[in-house]
Amino acid sequence: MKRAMVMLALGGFSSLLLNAQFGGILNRAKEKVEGAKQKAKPVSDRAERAIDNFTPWNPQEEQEIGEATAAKMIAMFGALDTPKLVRYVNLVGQAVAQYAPRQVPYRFGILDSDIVGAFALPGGFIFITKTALEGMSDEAQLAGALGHEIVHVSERHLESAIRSKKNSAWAVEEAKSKTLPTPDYLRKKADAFLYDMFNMRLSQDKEDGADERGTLMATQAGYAASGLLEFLRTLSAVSAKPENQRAFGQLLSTHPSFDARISHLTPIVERSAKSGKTLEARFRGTVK
Amino acid sequence: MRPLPFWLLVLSCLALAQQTEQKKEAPPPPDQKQDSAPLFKSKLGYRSSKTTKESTTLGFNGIDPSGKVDQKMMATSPQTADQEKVTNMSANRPSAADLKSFLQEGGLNSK
Repeated sequence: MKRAMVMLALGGFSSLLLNAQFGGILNRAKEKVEGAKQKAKPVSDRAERAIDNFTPWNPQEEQEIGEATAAKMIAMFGALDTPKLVRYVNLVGQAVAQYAPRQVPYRFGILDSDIVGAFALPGGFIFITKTALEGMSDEAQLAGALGHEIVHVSERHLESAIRSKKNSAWAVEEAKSKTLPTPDYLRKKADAFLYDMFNMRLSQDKEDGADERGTLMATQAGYAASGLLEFLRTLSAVSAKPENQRAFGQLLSTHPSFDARISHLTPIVERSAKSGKTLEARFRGTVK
Repeated sequence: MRPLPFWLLVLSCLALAQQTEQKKEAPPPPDQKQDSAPLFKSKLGYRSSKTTKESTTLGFNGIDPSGKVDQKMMATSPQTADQEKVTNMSANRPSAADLKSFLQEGGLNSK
């Protein structure tokens, strides 16, 4: 009994000592956690404020972010180095971009990837993949596909989408960079932008609008209105095969289904003039 | 001296073990480019900025089996050569005269 009492007393004494020794450390750790929470709060607050005060990038910001994201895209996928082909894609793009409501220096590149896709970056940088080009059969199809991307740039679709979501990588990065300015600001912004671009689905009305107005711009330039529609039909047929999932996974995870886009675009194309050009021979002479 | 069935059993076990070992060595490295059958009838044979003498196309490089861009690819950092290509994209934009001639050749409209 006596021995038990001694043990109990010793135990109590030890815990008092331990508390005195380490209690301070624990309290300081708690304070640090609270401090970190308080520091992080401005970031989330700023991210929330950013969505309430959406102001488009000014032209210089848009160019800088566009250049940083374009460099990263080229680093990731590689760009075709064939001057004749790159020049041709640029000329078709410029022909359509003449009719874009917002004029920025539109520039077009070809990515060396087996996925089917096209990407619109800030500042007028537009990329199409080599495999998407392989799926086209005439110049009107290329003009329609580039027209779709030009509308995304012209109407700032992705910019407004990523800045209107509290949880977008961009919103978080933007808020962080305002709290803690870093020297690699542009690289981080480019990373965040591309992360959102590869993972965020634009609204159906924005995609439908890009199909519709992209087609309209291509017809204004003199191309057949059916260009984009025909290309979507080709993609719909090829993507139905399960073995082609890898080539279409990225596109279909961020866009509506081909069938939905075809349904929306068909009546618009049917109402359009039938006098536009497909320029199949010029396309085959350059691309194929 | 052991009976023949015993030695047969030992030999089969050895053969099975060797086969399993070979199977373990079989899978290709995960980052290796995987060529697939062409998606469309024609295939562009052009080389890109990232291809080497050994590889003429990057194929599905950086794309996971579901078709999404993988995390490793997202971590790629642009080098000076990539930035130069972006500068060239701006410098090599077709001039107004080039565009005019292209539009005329195709019977397209000029704004």
